[in-house]
Amino acid sequence: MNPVVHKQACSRAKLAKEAMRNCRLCPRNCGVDRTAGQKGYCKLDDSVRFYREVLYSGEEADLNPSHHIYFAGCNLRCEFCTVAEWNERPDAADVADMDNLKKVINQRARQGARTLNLLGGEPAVNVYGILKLFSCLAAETKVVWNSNMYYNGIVDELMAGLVDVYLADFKVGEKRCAESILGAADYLEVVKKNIIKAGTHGRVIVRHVILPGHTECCLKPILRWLAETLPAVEVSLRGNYFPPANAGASPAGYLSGDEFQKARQFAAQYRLNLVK
Amino acid sequence: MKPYKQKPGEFEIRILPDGRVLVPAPDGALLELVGVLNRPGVRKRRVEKESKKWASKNQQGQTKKPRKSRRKK
Repeated sequence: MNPVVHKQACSRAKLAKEAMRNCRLCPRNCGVDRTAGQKGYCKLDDSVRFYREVLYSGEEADLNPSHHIYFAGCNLRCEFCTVAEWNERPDAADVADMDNLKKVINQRARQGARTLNLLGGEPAVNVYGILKLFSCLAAETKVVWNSNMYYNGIVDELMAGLVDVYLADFKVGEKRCAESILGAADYLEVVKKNIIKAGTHGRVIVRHVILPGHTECCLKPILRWLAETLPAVEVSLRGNYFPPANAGASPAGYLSGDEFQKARQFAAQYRLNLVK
Repeated sequence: MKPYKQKPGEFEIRILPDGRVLVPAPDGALLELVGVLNRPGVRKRRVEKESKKWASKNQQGQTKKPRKSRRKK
């Protein structure tokens, strides 16, 4: 975190709380008063709920080991979400005790965590709690914003200077897929805008979990856009797609090794900066 | 949308035909367990065991022989 900005974490948390009175943190623009207990699309009021923390070494190389903190609640409904049950019922997660969370984070740092990885669900809809948490943490903490990047400009402003690495999930490359798989027709325009903005604040790693069979509609358009718009950005292609039990519009099978290699070849053809 | 695991707090372990063991969004304990199961030696043994089982089942035309008890008397 930028040490100067870190001192503003508390005041930014207050701004975030104010914003929740007529919540337009994300493009769902629900307009509910979360501070009064109302809940919008993300099913969250103003309480901060987290349900899992783990020291994980499967992230992009230099982020490992990374301390994952899973916040409940999300503003997308991806069919292939691996934690959908927590996003459907975020109130099943415990309300975060900031002192306890701080202790856990410090303990994981002593165990070797190099980064603090905020994920969910979606951290953007939990921005108030995250800023409150930041005010309790040391400015030296290396923060990874592991996000679907589907949020409004206010979140970008609140987090600017506090994030070291934007691990930006770029899920699909076509409006039709965004609508049918993620439940967000405006996903592409929002995410592209936010990835560009993130690049002005800090390091960005664009991550794409390759969807089997979605080479033409998703993989190639994403790679092409990155090559044209952010040619130097770090790109991480992931082969760990988990097909859901009832696939619906999303792929029903696992990614093959062959498909993965081909995806890497496409990225190389676009001269993208692939990271492992 | 219908995930395999339905309630918050449930976990899921998937074993693929090639022997890989996958755990979506694991906690620390599961991560450790999967790490052990995916160790090259352990995975190889598991895959070989499964292959032999399938091969013998196919040879026997799906008929099962009763297994000999290994328990010492």
